[in-house]
Amino acid sequence: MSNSPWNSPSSSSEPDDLDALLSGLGRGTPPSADLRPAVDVVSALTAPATRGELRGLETALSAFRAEHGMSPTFPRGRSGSRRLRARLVVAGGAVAVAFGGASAAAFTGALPAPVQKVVHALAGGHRPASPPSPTVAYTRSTRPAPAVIASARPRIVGLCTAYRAASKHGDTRFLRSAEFRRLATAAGGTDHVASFCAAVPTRPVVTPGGRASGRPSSVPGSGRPSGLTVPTHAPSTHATHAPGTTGRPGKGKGRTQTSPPGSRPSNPHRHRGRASPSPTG
Amino acid sequence: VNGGGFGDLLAGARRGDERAFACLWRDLNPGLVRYLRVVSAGDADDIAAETWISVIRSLSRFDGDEEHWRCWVFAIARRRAIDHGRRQSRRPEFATADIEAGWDAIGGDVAEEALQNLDTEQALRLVAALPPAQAEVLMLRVVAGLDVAAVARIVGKSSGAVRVSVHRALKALTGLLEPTA
Repeated sequence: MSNSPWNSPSSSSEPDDLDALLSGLGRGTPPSADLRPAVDVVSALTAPATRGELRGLETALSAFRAEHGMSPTFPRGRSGSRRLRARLVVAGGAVAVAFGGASAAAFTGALPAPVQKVVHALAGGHRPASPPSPTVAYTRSTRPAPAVIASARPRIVGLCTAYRAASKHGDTRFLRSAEFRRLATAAGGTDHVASFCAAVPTRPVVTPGGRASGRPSSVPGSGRPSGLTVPTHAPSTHATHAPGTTGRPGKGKGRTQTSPPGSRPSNPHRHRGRASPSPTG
Repeated sequence: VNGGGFGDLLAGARRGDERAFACLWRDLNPGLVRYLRVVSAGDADDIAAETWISVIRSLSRFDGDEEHWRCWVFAIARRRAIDHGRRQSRRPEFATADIEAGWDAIGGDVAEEALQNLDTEQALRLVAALPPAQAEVLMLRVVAGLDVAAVARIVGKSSGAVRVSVHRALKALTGLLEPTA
């Protein structure tokens, strides 16, 4: 019935430090002082979804419809890829489908303050402008170029505008605000905000696709808006080959999930549920 | 995954029920994007979108429970990220100094705030400053919610190696965040 590679027997997975940390939390044991920072990081990593992280739904649904409904016999070859891309361009440029709108709204309740939304939106589009790693097949990004961020995240234009205005009027309140701290985070440090904002265009422009963007003409090709456009190459048509793995992943213990819509997929508490059930392995 | 249970959602998605698919997508995509932001050189949103296209095309051939599902999707994402990295021009060595740079980018802010106010963005930056192998296993353990054995299979290492990486990652994060460290 399936050629999925996930049904081979799993070796038992002994707990690691993370399990220990999470199970401690689960028992209500406050983390020891030395573990506290790690707990904070883990908690932050599993914070509720942001709007930016849910933005690709319409695109995914377009692909889903293309595969299932609109074109059941959708070819999987190259030409099919092109057609799919064409559809995605349309869907990606065009907008908040009712379905997607509703689903985004469902998460609104889980989102923190507006500033937080801005920050996460900013944060969602990190582009590599920096020197990364070579030892693995892929590299990482730590500090995106301002214009690149701005092109992907028009809201940063607003923050920089606020920063410029505050600087101009000597308004120090802004410099003490959470917004400024967020901006500094995006810029890579408070010392870099001025130069960062200097590289950010002053006003968003609307791209042909209808997406607001602060992209200046000098933005490198990598700076396309990330909410999604199209894959830059044909995606694999055989996902089952994708992983270099063949075993089943875990205990195979299906989680019974009762979290409400809008809850994060993976928070530490939830994680506990799928950690190795045997504390001692 | 909310409502109806994973099995029902998967069955629905395989039949072409887009609401079921949307539930699966919403459940996994945020973690997927966070993982990709840490490990990938490309645009995380774009790679996530490519991942979903692969998933959609192969959905009819997938069979497994929710753990398998997460493992499967993240493994696809990982391969997409690797493909993306190969297409990128070679970048300079990820230097140790970058760890400090990454930390400097947020360190001042964090020091001023209670640690529990650490936001996701800051946490991702911190993790991204770890050595790549550590960063990846930590993200797979935490945001993908995969256990040690699953992570080991995805990254092609032994469970022991994964455990060591997680240990070092947590220790490094602790060190980074300790004011006196």
